Amino acid sequence: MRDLVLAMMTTIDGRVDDPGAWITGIGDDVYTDIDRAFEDFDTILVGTATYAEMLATWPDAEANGDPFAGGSSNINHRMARKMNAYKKYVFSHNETARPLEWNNAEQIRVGDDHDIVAFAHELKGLPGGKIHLAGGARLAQTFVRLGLVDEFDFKVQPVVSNGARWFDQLEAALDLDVVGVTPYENGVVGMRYRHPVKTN
Amino acid sequence: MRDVVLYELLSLDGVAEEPGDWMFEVDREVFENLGRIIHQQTDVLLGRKTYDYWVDYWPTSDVEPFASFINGTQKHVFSSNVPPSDWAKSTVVRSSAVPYVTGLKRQPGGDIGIHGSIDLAHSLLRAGLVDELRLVIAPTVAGHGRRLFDDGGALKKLRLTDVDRTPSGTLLLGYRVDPDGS
Repeated sequence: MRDLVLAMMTTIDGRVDDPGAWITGIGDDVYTDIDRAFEDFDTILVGTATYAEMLATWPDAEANGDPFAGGSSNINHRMARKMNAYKKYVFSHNETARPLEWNNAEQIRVGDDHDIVAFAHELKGLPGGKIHLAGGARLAQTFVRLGLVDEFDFKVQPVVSNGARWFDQLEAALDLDVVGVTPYENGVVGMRYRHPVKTN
Repeated sequence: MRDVVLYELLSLDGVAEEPGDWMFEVDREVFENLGRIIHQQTDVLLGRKTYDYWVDYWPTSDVEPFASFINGTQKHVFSSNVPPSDWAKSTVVRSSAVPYVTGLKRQPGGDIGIHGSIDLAHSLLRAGLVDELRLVIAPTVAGHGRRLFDDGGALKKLRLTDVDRTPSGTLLLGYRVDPDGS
């Protein structure tokens, strides 16, 4: 079974929604590590809003270079190439599936918890790399609540900001193993945790 | 001006209440880090609930370095009435915490510590009176309990000063709250 990794930017207090409101700065050192983490992924799970943001960023980034102020165009170009190649599952509440314009993207209609668990287990059982759960907030909360996340890879911005937090729907306690903690420029801290027991 | 330093044990999901429920391993590095922080402190601010909880434990405890520190350091206890149990070096403060702490910061002395005392921490964070955060983060998600950052306050930008990890996987983070940071 392959691992499902919740890899997102957060605030110190765990906020994951509306990152534009609280991201203070992401240096090349953060992008380099994200790009390295991308090596392990071949599938990405996103909600519709996150998909729309990614669609506005990545296809052009591979064609034209750096979409990010202050980022290194080489790193972002590599990230864009990987992102464009990934299998992309877009979770939508929409009844009717619309064709998605991005390469290798497929819409998944969000059903009940049972459907989501069944989908995740089937996906984890397929051969391939790790699965990247990239947001948005509601999708992350659902997967955390259902115990489907094997690894947490947070890039914690030096900010406290009220909003939707990745753990807001979780009621049961979780005991995790620390994989690594990495200080970056700009006060960002990388925190990686693993579930000690495989979730599947 | 003296610094107000907030020291808090937290779960990964930001819960500060009842650390005994979710902090299972406390290694030597946690105590050494605590020792360095409290060494700078000459006053401690306590909420009434934390006072009531601690007054039954710390006066007879030999868990160092905190026992000697908390028993021997001037404690300012925010409470609307006088607590029934006495604790040496405690002063009950019946007035509002914000003007009181503002005044205390202007007096000579070392750092002013806040330990536990979640409600008090909320008030002082909201009022911009906390200068430094010392967060000790256990590798557990508590799932429920009162949180340190749950006050509905405005966005605060902080400056990371320290990152460390103990062998048991506890994170020791230090942040400065810059005056213009919110």
